[in-house]
Amino acid sequence: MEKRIRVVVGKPGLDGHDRGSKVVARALRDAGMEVIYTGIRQTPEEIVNTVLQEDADILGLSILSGAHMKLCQKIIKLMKEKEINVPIFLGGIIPADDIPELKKMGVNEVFGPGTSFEDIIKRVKEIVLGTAV
Amino acid sequence: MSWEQQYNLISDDFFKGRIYALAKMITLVENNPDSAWKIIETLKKNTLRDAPTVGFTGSPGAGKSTLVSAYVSMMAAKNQKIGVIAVDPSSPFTMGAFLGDRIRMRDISESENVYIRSVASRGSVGGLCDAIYDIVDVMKAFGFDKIIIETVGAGQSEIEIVYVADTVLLVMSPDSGDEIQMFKAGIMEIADGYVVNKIDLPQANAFSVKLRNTLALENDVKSKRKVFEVSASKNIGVEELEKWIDEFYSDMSSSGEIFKRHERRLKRRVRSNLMRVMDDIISSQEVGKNSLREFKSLIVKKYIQEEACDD
Repeated sequence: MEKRIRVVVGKPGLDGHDRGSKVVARALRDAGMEVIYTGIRQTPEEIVNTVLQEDADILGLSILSGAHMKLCQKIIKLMKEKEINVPIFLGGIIPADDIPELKKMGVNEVFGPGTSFEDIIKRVKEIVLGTAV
Repeated sequence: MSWEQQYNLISDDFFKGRIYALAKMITLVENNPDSAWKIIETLKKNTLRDAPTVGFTGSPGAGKSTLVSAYVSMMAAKNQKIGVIAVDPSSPFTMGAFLGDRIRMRDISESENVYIRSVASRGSVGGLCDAIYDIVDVMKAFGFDKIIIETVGAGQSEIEIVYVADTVLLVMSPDSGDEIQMFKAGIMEIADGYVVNKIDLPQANAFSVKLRNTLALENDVKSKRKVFEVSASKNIGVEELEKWIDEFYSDMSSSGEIFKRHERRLKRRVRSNLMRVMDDIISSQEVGKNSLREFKSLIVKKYIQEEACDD
C-alpha cells in the first residue's frame, strides 16, 4: 500500500483566524494527504500530544497573533523533551525578519500570505519524503 | 525498511507502554496489510486481556465524537485506560482525508489515561477501514481496559461496526426522520442501544417517544433494546449509559452471546482479508481471451499460489 502522508494542522495561541489553516488543510487533503485538524486555540502541549498520538509525518502551524516566536519555541522544546522528531512548517502573519531566527530554532519552512497551494504541497512532500518532487 | 525491521525497532518500547511506539505500531499495521497478521500473531502472544470494544455509529453531526468524549472522560476519571479509534472518510478521488474528530475530544485529549487515534477509511465502504481489526488488536496488546471505536458518519448500510465491536450504540440526532426511517433495515438493526443525543433540543422528547413506540412494534430482541436520552455536550444521561454498557457486556459474557459475536467477527475478518487480496489479484490481471469460467479459475489459481508463498 502506498504510504499516506499524515499531517497535523494546528492553531496554537489565542487568535481565532482559522480560514488560512482550513484552506491549507483542505489543499493538503486534496493532494492525497491525511490531515488531522485540531482546530483553534490549542495549547502547545495539546499540539505536541496530538503529533505524538497520531504518528504524524509533519506538523503545520498557523499563527496570526504575533506570538509565533514564543509559541514555536515552546512547541519545539516540548517536542525535544518527548523525543519527537517531526518537521514543522509555519504559516500566517510572520515578519520576514523573524524567519531566519525561526529556521534556526527548528522550523523547516515558513509560508507567508500569497503562497500558492502548489508550493506548499510540493515543499511538504519534499520535507516528508526527504527528496525533491 | 522492511516491516520486520520496523517492528523490532519499536516492540520493546511498545511493551514498556510508550505512546510513540503504540502510534508507530498502528501505522505499521495500517500500511502493511499483507504482513499485519504476522505482527498481530506476535503481539497476541503478549496480550494479557481481551479488552471490551464499544462502537459508536450514527449519521454525520449526530454527536458521536462529543458523546465519546463525555463517555471516555467518565472512565478516565476512574483511572481506566482507554484507547479511542476515530474513523473519518478518505476521498475516493484523491485518497486524502480531513480527520476532525479530535476537535470534539479536547476534554480527554490531554488525559494520561486516554489515547486517541484518527484513522482514514482508505477506500473501505462499511464505515470503518480495512485495517480496523488489526488496529483494535494492537490496542488490546498495548493493555487498554476498553477500546472505543467511532465510525465515519454512517448512513443506512454502513454496518461493519457490528462485526468489529462487542457492543454497538447508534447515536441519533432528534431531527433524523420519522418512524418509517426507524423501520428500515440496516443500521437500525445493528444497535444494542440507541442514544437520542441533543435531548435539550425542543423536538427531542417527541423523537424519543416515537423511537420507543416504533421499537415496541419490533421483534422480541429488538423491542427490548434500550433507548438513552442524552445530551453529550451538557453531560446529561452519560453516566447511565456508561453503567449500562458494562452491565450489557457482563450479561453477554454470562449468556455466551459474546462468543457468538467473537465467531462472527473472526469470519468477517477472514472474509475481509480474502476480499482484499482477491481484489488486488483481479484488478492486476488481464482478462485477455479468457471466458468467464477460465478467468475465474485463473484468479483462484493465482490466489492459491499467493497464499502458498505467504506461508
